[in-house]
Parts: sequence; C-alpha cells; structure tokens
Amino acid sequence: MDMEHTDLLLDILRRLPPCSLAVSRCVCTAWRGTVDHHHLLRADLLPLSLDAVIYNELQMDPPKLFGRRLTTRYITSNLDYVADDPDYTDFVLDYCNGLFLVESVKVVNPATRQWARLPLVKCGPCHSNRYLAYDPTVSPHYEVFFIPRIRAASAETICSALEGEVMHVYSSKTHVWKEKSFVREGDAAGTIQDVQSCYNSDRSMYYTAYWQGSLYVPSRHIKNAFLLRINLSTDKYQVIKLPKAGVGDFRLGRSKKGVYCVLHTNVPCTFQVWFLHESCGSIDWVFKNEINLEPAFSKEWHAGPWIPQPPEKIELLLQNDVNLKLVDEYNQALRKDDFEWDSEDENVVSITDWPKKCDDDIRVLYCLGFHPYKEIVLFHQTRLCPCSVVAYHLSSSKVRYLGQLLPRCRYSTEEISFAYTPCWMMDLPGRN
Amino acid sequence: MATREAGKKMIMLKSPDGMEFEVEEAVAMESQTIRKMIEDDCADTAILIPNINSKILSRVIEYCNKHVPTTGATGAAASDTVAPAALAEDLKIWDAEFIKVNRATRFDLIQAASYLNIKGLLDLTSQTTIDTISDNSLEEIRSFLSTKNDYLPEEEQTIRRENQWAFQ
Repeated sequence: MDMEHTDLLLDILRRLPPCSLAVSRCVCTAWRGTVDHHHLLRADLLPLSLDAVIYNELQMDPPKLFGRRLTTRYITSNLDYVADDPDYTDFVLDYCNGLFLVESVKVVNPATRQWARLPLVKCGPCHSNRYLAYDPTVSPHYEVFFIPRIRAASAETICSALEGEVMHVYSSKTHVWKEKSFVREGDAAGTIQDVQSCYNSDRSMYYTAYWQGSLYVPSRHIKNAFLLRINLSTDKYQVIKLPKAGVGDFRLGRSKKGVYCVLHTNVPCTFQVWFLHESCGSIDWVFKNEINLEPAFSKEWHAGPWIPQPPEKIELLLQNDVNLKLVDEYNQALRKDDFEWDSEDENVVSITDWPKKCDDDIRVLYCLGFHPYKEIVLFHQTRLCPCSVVAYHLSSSKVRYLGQLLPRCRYSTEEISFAYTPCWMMDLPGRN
Repeated sequence: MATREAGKKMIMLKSPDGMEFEVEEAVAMESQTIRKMIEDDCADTAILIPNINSKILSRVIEYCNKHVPTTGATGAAASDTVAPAALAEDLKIWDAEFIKVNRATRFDLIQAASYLNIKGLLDLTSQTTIDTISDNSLEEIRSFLSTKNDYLPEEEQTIRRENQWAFQ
C-alpha cells in the first residue's frame, strides 16, 4: 500500500493547509489530480491579491478604503457592525493578512464581515502595543499579542529591561489568554547598549511584520531603534538592530522574500528600502534601493486605477449579506478587471532619469504599506493636496500612479494604514 | 466492576482473513461506520469488516479500547480519582507509543481509520504524514513518501508558478 492509493491520498490531502496543498500539487501528477479533482485548494479565498489600502485618519472616524474600483463595490471598510455603541467607532489597532484587530478587543474580517470578540485580559496598567498574527495559508487560527513598551527607567539594556516583563498572548485555538515571559534566543550579541526610551511620546502605531512563524516587533527609542523577532512556536526572542542608527521614521513590512524596512532619510522625500536577509542563523540588513519620490508627486498623472470608496456605496454594501456566491462573483470580476501589478500602462513610469536629490521640503510623504508577494511599496502624500498614492516597484525601478485619496489636508499623528489583501475564508474561529 | 461487566453487550467483528474479535459494543461504536450499522440493526451476530486484515483490525480495536469514553471501565485510566488533564496526558503518551509503526502499517491504519470513520485514529495516523508534507521541501516529501516525480522539469515549473506564493 502506498500514497498512490487515491482514497488514502485524499484523506491526507484533505487535512493539509492551503500552503502545503499548493506544494503537494507539484509532487506528482496523481497528487495534483486529486487536489484539483476535489477542489481542495481554494487559492481564490486566500489573501494573496493586494486590492486596496485601508486607513484611518483619526481614531474617531470609521476606517476608509482606497482601492481598485471593483473592490470598492464589494468590500466596505466600515466596521460599524462590530461596535458595541452605535455612536462610537472601534479604532483599528493592527492588521494581518486580511484580518483587523480593533479596540476592545475584537478581530474582524471586512471581506466576510465575520468577527470575533476576545475574552478580556487583565494586565494591570496596560502600556502595551497590540498586534495580530494570522496566516490562513498555513492555519485558520490567529494570535493576538499585547507586548509591553519598555520603560525608560529600566532600559539600560533591552534584554534586562525585558526580564520580568510579560506579554499577553491570545490564541483562537485555545480561546484563552496566556502570560508569557521573554526568553532570549542565543547569546546577547544583539544587545544594544544605551537605549533611551522616548516612552512618553511612544503612543503611535509601530507596524510589525509577520513572516514564517515569527513576529517582528519594532520598538523606537531616541538613540536606537530595534526589533524583537519573536518566534511564535518557541516564544523566544532575538534583538535585531535597525539598518541605520538614529533614523527618523521607519516602517516594517512583509513582502516577497521576507521582512523589509522603509526608512525616511534626513533628505526630504527620500527613502531607503532594506531587506532583512536571514540564512543559517545569521541576520543582516541588505540595502536594496534609495529613491527620491518627489517627481512622482509633482508630475501630472492621468486618472489612476484606484479610487476612494464613495460613502453611498458603504451603505449599500452593508445592507447585503456576504456569501460564497458573492465571493465567486468578486473573483471572476477580478480576473476580468484590467488592473495588473505587472502590466505596463500610462500610469507606470521609469525612475531612471529622476533626480537623486530633492530640494522641495514642503512635501510630507509616508509609506502606506507593502505588497505581501511582490516587491512593491506604497507611498502617499499628506498635508498637500492632491493626496496622491503611488506604488514603487523595487526590482524594476518603476513607479505606478494609483490615484488620489479623498481630499484631506489635515494631518493626524493617529493615522494608520495597511495594504489590504481581502481574505474570503468563511470560518473565522470564535466568530459571533 | 463485575456487575457492570455483566450488563455489557458484546459485538463480534470479523476480518476477511477469518479472524474473529469479540468487543464491547461501546468500543466498536467508536467507529462511526459500525455505530451506524448497529443503529440500523444490520449487525445481529457478527460484522464483517472488509479490506482490513486481522493484524490491522486488532490494532484498531486496541486503539478503540483505550479511547472509549472512560465512564465505562476500560483499564486503569478510568479511575475516578484521576484528573481529566492527567487522563489526557496519559492518552497522549499512549498514542505516541501506539503510532511507532513502520510506514506500511501506518498507511494501512489510515485507511482502516478512514473506512471505519474513527476521527481520533485518523487524526493520529495521518498527522505524521501531514507533518512530513508541511515541514519539508518537495524533494524531501517525495523521498520520505517514496513518490516518483513524473513531471517534466518545465511542467513542474509551470505548476509551481500557478501558486508561487506557496514557495516563498
């Protein structure tokens, strides 16, 4: 008896997560035949396609969606249906692969509109950053993390500051919160001396990256910023320095090959992109690109392929239920839609002749997020109108104009944004 | 103990190679397939289990004996004084020992568990194979499971590209 036996093979394949099913299709023709014949792999339900940006300007407003025309017709970023009080919008804390973590504490999938309320956690005075880890290609379960901000008074070194601290971790597998202490992996080689925390101003969101079972959590300090790489299966952490000391703003994200970091340089409109290269236990930042994005925002573009979601559309969408028929309809429409990340059109320009230096210091540009499977980073302009959004293709050195956010000329430090990949998995664990 | 023992209904299971196994009804009903037969009254004297030889069937019965809900008296684990967590731990250790078998036996057990519809046994027996597929590269999967790659190199590349996201 061997695995060629179809019934046996089917029994095994039925139990595999989508990622392993995709690999199984390549093992041999019999395996692929079984996967395809029984429609075991539904890649169309997975958060693989970057279709929008979901962002929040002010915590009291509902999140907004800016994306493909098609996406604005099917998915609303309005999360009113999870609110306990109709006059109060839960603000977004984090996002991971199609799922949002919102205040008081719930996870919600805007595509399926399924959501789950987490049990309350007791963690004293909770000066913690709150994060979500979810990857439905590997498991239907998600984890939520409350990770303490390190106090300045005790921050002689990061590792000793973390001693005695606990993080609170919720798993949808067990439905309970657990306290976990910080256990360092390996020696203290990555320890950074003389960290001065800017704890008091440490209120804003620090974007994490979730990659191959580890959560990369940034922590920002006056002299040095660093990351904790927390291995979620062993709960051990490692300290990783940022590519450059003393930088201003930075944003971490997961993209094609792993974890990337966009750094604001001291030069206006100029960004550096670094890639965290990990192999055989060694971890190094590899410099990938430096770009002055000013020309992208002073150029006259044709109308872009992405639009802000019209408010009347939101009302309309909320009146209808989400079901698998709608999902099929969305995916069919997606295939017919003419927006392609890899295509060449009037909205794509090469940046090779762009000036390396920028002398315009009026513009305030921000990184909006990363494409999870292609080396593409999204940027936008705040304070000045029009609030254009562009996509920077790292490997081809091209910039693609996407469109304009709703006119908004206010600037908010509470702003939060995520590159949104819709996830249509209909079985959110613990859903209400 | 003795009084409970007396009240127990017994079922005869027959393997295609002619062996007969007398088991308690509750143990046999760990299998949803047999449960259905009993409930539909299709099992008066003996139930023939096709495709499962006596060696595998005896192992399946061994598993069911251990996993039958402990309200009936089945072995030491049923003691009222043992906490549920300790019971679960005990079962886990027992399962780990039970599954230490060669690959051919494991595949036979998966098939038996699938035919007899015993979820716990199916989970247990297929987990090793699932772990092998989930944790290894394509080449390693093929070699562990003795599966021959019958793709042309360019064919394999095309199929890989269809789900490039899974290979990052």
